[in-house]
Amino acid sequence: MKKFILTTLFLIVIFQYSFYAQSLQIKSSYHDYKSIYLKTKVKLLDEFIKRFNGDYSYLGDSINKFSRQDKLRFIIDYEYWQKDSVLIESLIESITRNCFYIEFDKNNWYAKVECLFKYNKKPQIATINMQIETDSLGQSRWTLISAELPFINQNAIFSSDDFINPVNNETGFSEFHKMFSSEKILALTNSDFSYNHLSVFIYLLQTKQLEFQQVNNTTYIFYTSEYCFKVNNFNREHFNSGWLISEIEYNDLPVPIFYSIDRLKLQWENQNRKLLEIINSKNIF
Amino acid sequence: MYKILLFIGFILVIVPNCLKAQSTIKTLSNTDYENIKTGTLEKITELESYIIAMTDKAISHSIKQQAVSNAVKLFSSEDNIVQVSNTINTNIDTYKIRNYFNHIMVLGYSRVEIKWYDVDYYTDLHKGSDGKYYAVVTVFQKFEGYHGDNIIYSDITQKNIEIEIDIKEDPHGETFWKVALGDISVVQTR
Repeated sequence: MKKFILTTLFLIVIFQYSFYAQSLQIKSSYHDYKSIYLKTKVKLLDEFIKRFNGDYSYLGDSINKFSRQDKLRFIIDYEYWQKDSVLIESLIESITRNCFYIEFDKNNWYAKVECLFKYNKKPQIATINMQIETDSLGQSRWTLISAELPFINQNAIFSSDDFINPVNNETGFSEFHKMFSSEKILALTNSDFSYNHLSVFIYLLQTKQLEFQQVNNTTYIFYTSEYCFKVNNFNREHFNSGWLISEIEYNDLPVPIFYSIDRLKLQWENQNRKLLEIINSKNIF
Repeated sequence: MYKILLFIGFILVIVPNCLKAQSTIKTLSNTDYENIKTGTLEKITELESYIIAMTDKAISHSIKQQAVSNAVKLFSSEDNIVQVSNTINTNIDTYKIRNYFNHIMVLGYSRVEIKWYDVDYYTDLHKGSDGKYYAVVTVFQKFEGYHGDNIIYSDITQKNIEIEIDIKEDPHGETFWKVALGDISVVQTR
């Protein structure tokens, strides 16, 4: 089955080339070959979206001979195809069955940007998650939604020596002098504490402790109702190059991960509102 | 009476503001889009001709400098950058546009040949928070550096060029589009 699919894919790519070559009546010189593969390359994410949606006739009318399923097969990394053809076919089936199309200003996709920074004079990699935000006037901008800073100490490690004793309040929290002047501060945090990396990232940049060097690479993550898939750039000298689907997973989350931040914020606001209502109704103060 | 005056005052303040807001919301027709696309591709062609002049050893230094100045004028700002990446390592070199042009002007080859492939790609236009429209044009360039008759360096690069489209109004109140180039990323293809 796998071999059959790969052979089909190969034939599709060859037909894709020959249709185009015939339509232009070109000679098969190196230059022409190069031109054709550059034309078939998915050059920008915008082109990926158009080809995903079947909106872009990058090979003239010849591309219209193919079904949407075939057009989707052109924008999948062939190396990934060799690994997981079953999942790829089920994604394609799901996309066509649900008539799923990518819309630029919908928030069911975001960019994962791996960047090189300098932190404490050492090179460090951080991942910045960016999303398009569009206002009521249709004006768009990329916004920071979260950050992943693996070089920041992730977890508070509790030590039996590093704590503030339960009656220290009675001496005006006299142990603050000891605890706040060292790295022991993490030991003071609540057991479910975790850093808000975006806040840390902004603070480190503002205080110039973190210095941006360059963007190493970008991965785009798209969510459908049933799957999420990654799109990466492949710089190859053949017909399967440019921005291509590189990985697929089942989307078993009720909402994409990055929505949960907003959801938590909403929960927190609702809880606070309820608390205020209780306080007001009982005239506590 | 006071309420009526207040209401009229409210209308007089709100209506002109609404009209003003409406006049700033421009939507592009297909003709606008095609005109902008044509104008942009002309700018790219102009940039290509300046780059060819900058790298031509037969052209005098003063004319090359003029080509650099003219090329810079195609951009929205001197602060626009060119980012150059290659396939050998992950390093990305970043230049201000004028520095980039000065850099390619003094490449150490006895002769340079630059060809532009007849492949380009124009993205959709997107409106930014500043009200300007933005797009990216992709072009491919083949570069060959010679020492005598021998090619000592050759590459094919994909240039992704940002485009900024600003809505302007002439003294007669007619709107027109001003197209300028923005940042460029240069990606070496294998």
